[in-house]
Amino acid sequence: MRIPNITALFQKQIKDVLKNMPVLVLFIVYPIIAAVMTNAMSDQPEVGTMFLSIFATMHCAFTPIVATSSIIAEEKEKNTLRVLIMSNVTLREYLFSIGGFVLIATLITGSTFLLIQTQSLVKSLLFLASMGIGGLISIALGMCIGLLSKNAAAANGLAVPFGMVFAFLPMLANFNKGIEAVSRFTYGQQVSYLFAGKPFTVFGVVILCINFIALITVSTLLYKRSIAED
Amino acid sequence: MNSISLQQVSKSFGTKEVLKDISLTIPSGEIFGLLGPSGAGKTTLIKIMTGQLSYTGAAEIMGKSCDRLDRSIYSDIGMVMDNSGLYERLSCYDNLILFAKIHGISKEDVAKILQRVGLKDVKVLAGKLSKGMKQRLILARALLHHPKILFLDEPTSGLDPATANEIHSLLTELKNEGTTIFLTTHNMEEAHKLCDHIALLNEGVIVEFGIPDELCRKYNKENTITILDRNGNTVTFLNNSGAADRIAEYFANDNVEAIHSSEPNLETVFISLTGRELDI
Repeated sequence: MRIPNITALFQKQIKDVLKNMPVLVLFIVYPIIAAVMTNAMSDQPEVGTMFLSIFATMHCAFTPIVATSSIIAEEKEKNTLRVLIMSNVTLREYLFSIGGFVLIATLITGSTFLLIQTQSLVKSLLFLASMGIGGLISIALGMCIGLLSKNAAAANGLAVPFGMVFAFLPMLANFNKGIEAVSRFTYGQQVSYLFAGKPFTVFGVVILCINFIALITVSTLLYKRSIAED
Repeated sequence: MNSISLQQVSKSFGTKEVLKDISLTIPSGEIFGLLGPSGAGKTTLIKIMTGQLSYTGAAEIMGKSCDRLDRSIYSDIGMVMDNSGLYERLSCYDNLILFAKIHGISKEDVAKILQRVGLKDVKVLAGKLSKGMKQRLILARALLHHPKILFLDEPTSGLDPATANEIHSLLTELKNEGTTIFLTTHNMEEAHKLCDHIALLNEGVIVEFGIPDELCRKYNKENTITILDRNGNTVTFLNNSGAADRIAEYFANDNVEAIHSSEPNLETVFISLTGRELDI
């Protein structure tokens, strides 16, 4: 992988997303809602913490899935991805730069959750690490959807239901033990536990690893298929 | 030296054979035109030559087999395809800067290319450009890294005559600088004006190949000369030795307003060979 190609694509992505309102909104919507809701419940700190955990999970699960898939699918639809490939950019370099951009954007916008509720440095770092883990797995899923879809509309059609499963199921699990019994097998639920301040468990680490390995395997297979098609 | 060499190249999609036994050699530094109606297989042939599609037969570009192209070949070729995408939310300049960074080109060279293709307002978003301006931007991007071979798929399709003429002038300049240009078009005037050699492609088969003027003379079945005299009368002579004295007489009497020979244009040649028109 060539660093100049990756940085050029990364810089392009920053300029592009700043003018791409639907994707830009995705990155800021959950921190804003969390701030409003936590503020509204300022007299009940434990409810505020729950809101923080819910919206942080949505931010690191839903946003990267939809943003990554939408960016990749749009490039396929508008043929800019083919132009990049024909300009000696490898698909690996492209995916690395898009994934890197979405991860950094998720972490930067996600760090605003830390401003909502004051936490110690260690807890803040753990919070960001959890967001990074959740974001990384979501990016892998977003890449699968983006590589699979022919255009941005098709990608959104797939990404939103997947995003809802991984981002909204943990929220519902707060109120329904039956749902939690199912959702604890998803990375979204495990990340949600971490945001809520629960400690790492062996089961949680295994679930995160399985989710990550499964999605990386699928995205690698789709990547190889895309290479073969090109 | 040949930039492109194809020997009996064929391509099928499923049971449909879209290219049949295409053989061509294109010397370096010339403009080659592939003429044919929509669906004749022109874009498919470009995709084969640029390593985007598999094929049967032998195809080479700059001495390298097209089925085993190294990625480094993309530093030597530029492409303007009808579906070449632009980043519509980025300015013209930012669109080019991205590719300049990828190719390791300086900002000064980007400014030179922009000037060369006639793009003045570089801050405007690519999505707000007219079709002609978009085409100039795509051409600028293809020229950014000074490619040795330029593939142009219908580069002036849908453009106004003034913009098309400016692009023609630029292509002639590039040819004079030694760039090999492979051009597909169904505009026979464009092909006649620009190309050193052309091939006429119909339903995946090359039906004729040669120098545009020679092809027109080859298919000059009427072989007549028509004189328009000063009184507005037209007189047509068979083009043989017997007509020479009579034509000379018109000139001697200063009675020639205009004189025309009867060579067909490339479109007429194509119709006579295939029974169909180029622009369908």
